Amino acid sequence: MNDATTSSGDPIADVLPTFAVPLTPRWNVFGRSVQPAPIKAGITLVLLVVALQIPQQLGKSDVNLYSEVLCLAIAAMGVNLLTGFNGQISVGHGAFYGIGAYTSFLLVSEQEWSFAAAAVAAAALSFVVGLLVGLPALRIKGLYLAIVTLALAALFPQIVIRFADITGGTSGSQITRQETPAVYDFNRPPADSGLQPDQFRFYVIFVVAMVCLLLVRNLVRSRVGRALVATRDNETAAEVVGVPLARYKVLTFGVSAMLAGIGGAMQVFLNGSVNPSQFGIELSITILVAVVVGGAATIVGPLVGAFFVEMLPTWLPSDTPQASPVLFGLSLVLLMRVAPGGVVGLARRTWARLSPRINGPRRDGASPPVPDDAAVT
Amino acid sequence: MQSKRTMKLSAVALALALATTACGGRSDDNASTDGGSSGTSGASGTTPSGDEAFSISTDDCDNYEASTGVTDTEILLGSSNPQSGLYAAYAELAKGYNAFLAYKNASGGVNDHQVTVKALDDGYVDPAKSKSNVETLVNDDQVFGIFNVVGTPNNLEIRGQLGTECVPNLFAATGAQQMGEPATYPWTIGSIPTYATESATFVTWLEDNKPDAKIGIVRQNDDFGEGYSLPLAKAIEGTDLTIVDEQTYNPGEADVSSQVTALKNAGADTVLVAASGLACPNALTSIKSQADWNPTTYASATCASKTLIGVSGPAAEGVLSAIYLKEPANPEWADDAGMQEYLTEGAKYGLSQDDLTNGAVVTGWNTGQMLTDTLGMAPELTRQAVMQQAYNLPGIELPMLLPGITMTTDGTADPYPIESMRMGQWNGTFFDWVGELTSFEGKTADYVG
Repeated sequence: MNDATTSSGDPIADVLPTFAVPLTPRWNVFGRSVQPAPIKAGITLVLLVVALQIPQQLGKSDVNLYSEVLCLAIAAMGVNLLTGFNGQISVGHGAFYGIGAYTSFLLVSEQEWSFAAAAVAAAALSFVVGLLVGLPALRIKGLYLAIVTLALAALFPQIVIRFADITGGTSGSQITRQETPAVYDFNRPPADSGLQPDQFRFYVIFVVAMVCLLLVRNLVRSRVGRALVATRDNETAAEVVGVPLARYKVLTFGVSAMLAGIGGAMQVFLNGSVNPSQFGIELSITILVAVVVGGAATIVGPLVGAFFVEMLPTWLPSDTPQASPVLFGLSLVLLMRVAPGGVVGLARRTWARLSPRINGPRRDGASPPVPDDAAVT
Repeated sequence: MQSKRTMKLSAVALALALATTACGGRSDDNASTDGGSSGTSGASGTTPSGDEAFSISTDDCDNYEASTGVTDTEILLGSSNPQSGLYAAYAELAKGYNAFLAYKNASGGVNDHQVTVKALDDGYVDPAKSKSNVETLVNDDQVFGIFNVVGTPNNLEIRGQLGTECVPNLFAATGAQQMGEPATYPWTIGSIPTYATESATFVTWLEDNKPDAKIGIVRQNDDFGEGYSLPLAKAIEGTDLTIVDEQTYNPGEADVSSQVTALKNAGADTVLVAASGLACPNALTSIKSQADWNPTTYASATCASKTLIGVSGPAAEGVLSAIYLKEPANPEWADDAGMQEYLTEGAKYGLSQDDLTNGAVVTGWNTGQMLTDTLGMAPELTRQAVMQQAYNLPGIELPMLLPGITMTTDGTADPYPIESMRMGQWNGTFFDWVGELTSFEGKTADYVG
């Protein structure tokens, strides 16, 4: 029988044997058992208000920095889906980011498409290339897949340089009022909006990031999401249970590449320029770092991770720039020592310690489901 | 159901959240929005023979602010340069100009204004970082103008925005010809001689010394490399010089030995090495290591710095390059007033003995003078006046320029400040003269692709 102190008002939970997993795990807040959903909604709302106030309260460079965070976060959502939830390691998503960036840039600057159309095309192309990469990826796993994707990341800037006639090569390509006046307004606010360019760009990128976040959240919480997690944890078992492995793995690659491509398109929307050096190995590693620092296989991890990865260098003392990369690396090492599950993982562990007893195991794929010892009292 | 009610609440709350975005706001919200005009940036160019000086209009600017960054006692400028990473050697330029500015400020500065440059690190490789640095400097630090940003892609990245906001981008640290396009980008100007000027200098020397040379080119596969090869091709028209082969390598590659072998097999007896970074010393070493081949070799001025020539070691001996500044190691300048001023005052204001002999530091010192002279000559300390002055330099002599070289610009007719160079040959310590000073004043535009 349940411990009398855990009478939760839910008659079913009271009757079920103690080893059963509660269907709606509640939170223990100041000794009371509450539904987590309204609290989570409240926190989300507060954060939303804060985020929407960013362009109103901060200066241009800070707003642009936050926009960069969002672009990276979108790409990190993609890698998180593939690597965190589905277990396929990719150190090559910088290439998809670059494909998204160059596709949207060239369509706008050369073909004078509207940015919305160009972004959709960029997402579609990234998706297709992701599928094409995902197919051979079926046969490679783990470290070997990481190496192959790393090669892809190294290859992308070379391809850009090879086709310098179209892409602008190592000098990059810029949309400026002076040389491409017809499309110069593509990322500028409508005249009657009352918004400054940096504010407008933040809001647009923010909306896109939230849409992507919802997409990933719904995917992860669906049957497909559970199938992806099952594939990560035990491929054979998943196959036995009936998960169509090949199809889901390839599709996940495609969707994750699409998200990275959207991130790249958003970067073009922010900056109005492209340069191959921005889309090399460093970017792929940065995206992966953001995923891990934030917390792999969590919904908000990519956002948190992108925030830390972009902001941490600005928090470090800037008078010796040579020390900056060293300090950044050291900070990351320290962070992973303290919080191997990323920032979100650390938050969860702290929360679990603060309010142990009736908080049941997680429903999503963050860790394999294990009967909570605390429930057996 | 619980979740439906939660959703309704969330929707209402979200609407409220969006409404709050209408409240509050930044102090710049009342500033006018974009200029709206989609025309090219205002630059009323002038005919070469016109008496009218080149002027820059501010009608199309986004919020033109004439004297931001200028107080009664100070002028603040900003820069973005590689202070860390593989290209940190180019931060030596900043050492040079900071020492010069400290020297100049100690004796009153420019018209009683202390001139300071705040430089942020961009690592060179990511132009987006340069752009965000420039935005920080212009928006947050409120600098008067941007100065001596290093790198062609970096300057290409920032010149559009600076042009629409009408903020000067003075004396860019790159020899790319795009720095001299005042018809479209009047708010950007270069400082060092262009790669086209180098090529033209080399061709003139060849016409006098090796008129039937068969030239092989090994160059970087981008705008930088083409900055040499295209003007070279143009310059040899009508001469007996021929280009027998052109080999390229990708930026980032450091091994060009196969390209060099190809040039040898093509029968080249003269080689132009349009390479930057480590590919250059590698090319020089490969050339020297070939048996039975002793071509006349020209190395890009970007390679002629102490660091890279030093890496080449003995392979660099006999290599030609085009020079425009006095070298501290050359005994010809031992008693020269300008050199003595540089050595004494430089040491006094923070330069070590090692720094003083570094060509990049000399370049920086010279660029510092370009800046203070331009600021001093401008009729008033406004962005427009200073930028117009930069494009109307009346043949100024600077102490570290070779005698006979002057800084001259004339709007669209002559957008490059320094267009004269002299051929030198590396003897292990400095460049010995092998030619006379050649001037392409006003003519660089004829050679660029």
